[in-house]
Amino acid sequence: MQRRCSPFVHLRYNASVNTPKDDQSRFRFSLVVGLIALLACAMGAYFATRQATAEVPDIQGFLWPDPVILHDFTLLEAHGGVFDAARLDGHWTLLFFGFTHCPDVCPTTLNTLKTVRSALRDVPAFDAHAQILFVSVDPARDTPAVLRQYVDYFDPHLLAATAAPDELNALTRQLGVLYSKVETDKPSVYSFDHTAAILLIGPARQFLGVFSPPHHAAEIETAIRRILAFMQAKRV
Amino acid sequence: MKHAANKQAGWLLVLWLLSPLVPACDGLTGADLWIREGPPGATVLAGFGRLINRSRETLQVSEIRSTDFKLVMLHETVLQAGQAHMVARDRLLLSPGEVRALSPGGLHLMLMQPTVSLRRGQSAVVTFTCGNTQNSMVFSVRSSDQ
Repeated sequence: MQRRCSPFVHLRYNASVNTPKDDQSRFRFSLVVGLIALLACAMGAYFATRQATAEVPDIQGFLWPDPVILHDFTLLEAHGGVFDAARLDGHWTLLFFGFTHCPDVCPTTLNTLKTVRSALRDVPAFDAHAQILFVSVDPARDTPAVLRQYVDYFDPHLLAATAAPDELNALTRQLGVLYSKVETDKPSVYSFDHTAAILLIGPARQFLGVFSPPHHAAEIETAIRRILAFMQAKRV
Repeated sequence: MKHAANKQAGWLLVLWLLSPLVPACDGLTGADLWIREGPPGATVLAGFGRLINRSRETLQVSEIRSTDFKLVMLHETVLQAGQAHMVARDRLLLSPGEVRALSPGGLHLMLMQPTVSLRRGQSAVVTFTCGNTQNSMVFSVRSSDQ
């Protein structure tokens, strides 16, 4: 009776006697053990995955856990000097690509960025280290002087920069930003198609977030708050 | 003589049939028309508001001009896969009773090379042409953060 209930008894029994019936029992036992082991592995994998997923908050556009770390690039800053990768260090940077002859998306987005920046004044970790950078993809028309006048109109605290295409591309390629000149039948009239997303760069040059248009300041503010909380909790 | 009269009547009939295709701009009205103020020296501004066809016919706006700008175009910002594209629209069709919004991030007037400096509180006159008739509307200049 005991032998029928316990596989361990079967083992002992099988060690001494070897009949076709015992082989069948051994096979059944191995099958049960195998299935239990398989189930344990599957459950382990499930819970491990679930825990790892739970660690990363579900934030639209948050590029975690594998943010690109930005490396060297050099832009000409509107207010003089250069804006290179080192200028990102220690700052939370909100980045937007556009051009000053863009009358619709660019002013709208710069105003959105101003609103987001103001709304996050109560977050010291962000407020003390935040910068907004407008990068022009139209260096031919957007000289540093033109750029300075443009961004100063929106907010004197805004930063603006541009560069010749080769230098500009050293940055855009890292961020996956696209832009292309759109000619018209009038040579003096041209515009650019460009990535209209707002990008978030962390204080260690991590490309952390992409906020795609259409932009809603409140949604971006909430996303940044959650990203900041997550990064602080992770101490990164 | 009778043949000539019939021919003339035929042409009149054709013109009468075609007339709804080139309606006057009289039925076109605007509401909440505004221009977003640009930084000093800005060479391109954008115009927004609502265009309303109050007539019983489809209106086709074929040209937009303003003495306050060297060139006015109708553009639409189209977002595709995170990319902002500026698409020029050659004409604007408004069906009877239709209200067409000109809004940031969408259809808007591209106002290029201002001939005067336009600051908030000022206004510009924009003329819409439908067929061979025109309708002028006043756009007021507002702060850029609107």
